[in-house]
Amino acid sequence: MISSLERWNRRCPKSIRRNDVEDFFLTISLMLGFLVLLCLYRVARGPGIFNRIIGVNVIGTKTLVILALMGFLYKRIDMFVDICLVYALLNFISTLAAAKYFQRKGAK
Amino acid sequence: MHATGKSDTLGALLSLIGLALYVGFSLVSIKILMIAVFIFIASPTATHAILRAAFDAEVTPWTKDGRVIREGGGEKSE
Repeated sequence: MISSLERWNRRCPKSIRRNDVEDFFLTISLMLGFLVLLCLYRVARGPGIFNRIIGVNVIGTKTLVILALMGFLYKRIDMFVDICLVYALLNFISTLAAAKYFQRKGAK
Repeated sequence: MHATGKSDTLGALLSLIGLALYVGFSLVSIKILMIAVFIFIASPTATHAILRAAFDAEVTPWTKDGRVIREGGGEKSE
């Protein structure tokens, strides 16, 4: 009796073969992708601009974690971790800029 | 507020620390820990900026019994 992971490892090319922990990472990435969809609903339908800013901020942080996990899946974490760092900085700056732009009376 | 303040900060922090432990001690793990430290500082700051902007725009948080919460903890019933 072979597991689905072993069957996958037999078929796929060597570069994307994965062990148990990386299989767990793939599951976590898919779950985070599903949670991104839930946050996207808040961005699309959220009452007011501030709910949308918060939704975008949460999506950015989730994307950062997904990027780090994908670095392990593609076995290029030394490259992906730099992209993660840049993404964290950009997410923070864009959130601050949006919050500062809408900081006035009556901006709903 | 809960979304960006608690779940975002702590969730990403613990995930990244776990990934750093999985790599082992190397330059990559140090970089991942640097990202974790940055998130630990930057995410509450962003939450604070959003809430400050929302209070300045006179957006009141939702409450169950309909009372209005103003900035600085003061409450005013409608």
